[in-house]
Amino acid sequence: MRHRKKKGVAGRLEVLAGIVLAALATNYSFAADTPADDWKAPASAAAKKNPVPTSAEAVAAGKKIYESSCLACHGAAGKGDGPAAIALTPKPKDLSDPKIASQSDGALFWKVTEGKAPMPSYLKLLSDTDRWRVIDYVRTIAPPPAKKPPAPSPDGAEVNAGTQGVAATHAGELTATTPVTQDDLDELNRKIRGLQDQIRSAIPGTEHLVIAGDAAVGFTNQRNTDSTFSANVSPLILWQPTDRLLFEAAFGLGVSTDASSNSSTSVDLGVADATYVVNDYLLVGGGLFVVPFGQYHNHFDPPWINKLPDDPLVFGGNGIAPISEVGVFARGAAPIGNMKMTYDAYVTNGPQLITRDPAAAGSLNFSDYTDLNNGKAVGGRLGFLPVPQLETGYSFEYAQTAPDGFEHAYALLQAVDLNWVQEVRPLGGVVTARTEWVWSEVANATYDPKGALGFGPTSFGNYRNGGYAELAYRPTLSGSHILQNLEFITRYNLLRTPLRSPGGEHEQAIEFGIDYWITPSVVLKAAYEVDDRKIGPSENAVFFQLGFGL
Amino acid sequence: MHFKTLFTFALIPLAWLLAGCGDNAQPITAAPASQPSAPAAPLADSQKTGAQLWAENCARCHNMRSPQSFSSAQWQTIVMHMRSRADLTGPETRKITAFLQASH
Repeated sequence: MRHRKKKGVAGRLEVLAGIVLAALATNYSFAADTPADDWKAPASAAAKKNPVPTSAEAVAAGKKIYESSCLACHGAAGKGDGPAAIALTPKPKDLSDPKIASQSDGALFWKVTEGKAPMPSYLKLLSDTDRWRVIDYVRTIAPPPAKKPPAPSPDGAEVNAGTQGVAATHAGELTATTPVTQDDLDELNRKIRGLQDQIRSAIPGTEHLVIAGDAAVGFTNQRNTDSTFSANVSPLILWQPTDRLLFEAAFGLGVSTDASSNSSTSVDLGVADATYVVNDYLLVGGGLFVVPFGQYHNHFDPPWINKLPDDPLVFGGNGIAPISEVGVFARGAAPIGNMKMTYDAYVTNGPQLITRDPAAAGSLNFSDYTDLNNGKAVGGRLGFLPVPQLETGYSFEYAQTAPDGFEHAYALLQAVDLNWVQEVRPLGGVVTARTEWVWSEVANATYDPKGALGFGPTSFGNYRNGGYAELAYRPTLSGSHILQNLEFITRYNLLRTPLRSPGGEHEQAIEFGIDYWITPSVVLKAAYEVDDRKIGPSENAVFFQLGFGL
Repeated sequence: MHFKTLFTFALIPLAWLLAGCGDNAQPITAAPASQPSAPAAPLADSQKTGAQLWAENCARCHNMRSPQSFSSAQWQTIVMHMRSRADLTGPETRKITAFLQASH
């Protein structure tokens, strides 16, 4: 009793620590928001005349350019609420603001040309004419003031023509009048920015070498199990020695402690592979890689991407789908008009059939990377994207799975997946719908044929299946900062293994979750799971998790 | 028998790509948009800009990350990683990289 109470206090302390961490992370994201709103074009640039006078044609052309280059951040109506805006600090400007309207074409042209992070410099992304056209279009969102374009910078922050050569102005950059031209100085400023970027890149070990990855701190309270905290840090090392070659290594460092103070630590290598670019539509590689079987492990499982604190049953620790395998792969994509097709093919050691464990015989072990026979696994996935917001795919894996000495037994795994992410304006936010279903068939075999292991002989139809369907909604278009960072999630899980097999079960679970996105890659999650099992007692659970993407 | 049939199916698209596309890969580093585009691609690539491809492809799986999250050199490697994870084509990879790098 005493012991339990103590644990409760410790638990509360840990939760407090989590909240403090979250607050720090929030603070950090706000810190980047500080630069004052004083971005001004130099006088000579602001005075530049628009050589593409406004016309129906110019505006129509400008609208097209706006939609392809500006809309993602500034939004369809220029309100600064495009789909990417939520990730950016400072936020994209509202182009219908009178502050934009009051600027001259020349000033806006200069800003589009130069950029100011996170806004890119369009010098190399759009031609001069296209940049002027897009300004003609922006004028229809932010009409110019009735009078002539105002003289820029009434506050005298800028240098007037003829008074002096070079002077420092906003952001410590140089502007000039005579004898150096503004173009010269823009060029110089670009070089300085390039140097700053290079300095940042040249921090020892960061050139072509990136350490990214993810981390999570979790808390689980499940019926029939003692509640526990858990932790995981998974560094991902990317090294790109040439344009065509990429090496990747990822390893999970995990810690967990249960109530009786049994703790375990683990180092789990998840990825160690090399990828080579053959051409624009084909990559080949090999090593230990995440298997493109379905989408979950390949696309969604990091704790800052998965919207719920746990894996779907079918892809979890007792699931029926592969995670990482050792072998070689080829993959790529090809456009078909406005649609796209993707393909993955691989040959690996494949999973291993468990034959001797009285609690698991008949199921596949996906985390044993060495092969136990000469038969290899072959698999692949064909993906289809009719629109960029929707991806659907079919995957299969066919493997010889039995260890030498056991009877010949193949396994055929198949999966279908669908992922749809759409900003739905009438609903004021982004809707995500994801679903994947997996079918596993292992050839009939007799386990423990002589009864020497104490659970046989036993044989059963070895068909397994399961899947999940997840629906999430995030009110990204809400005016409230708190509300637009909340996300509501529900997921249905199913996993059926043969009831006559060792450890066989029919389990389904429904989860309800609420996430708070502290930054685009830091999330605090809470979820409740209602569990239903045919054989074992149902184990409802409460989960909390703080997930980080680095 | 089953095994061989499946294996053959897996190899058909590979053979087609190897034979049909040849070696036309370009360096990942972006070329300025003002330059004439690379020799006609064997497959009709989309006319989409880097900004569009960035918004469409990244958000399908995870939240958008600000271009400021990484330096230009880091983006080059990270987009290459994502090319493999998210099955991006070469032109898509180059346009997205150029867009993210232009923010620095």
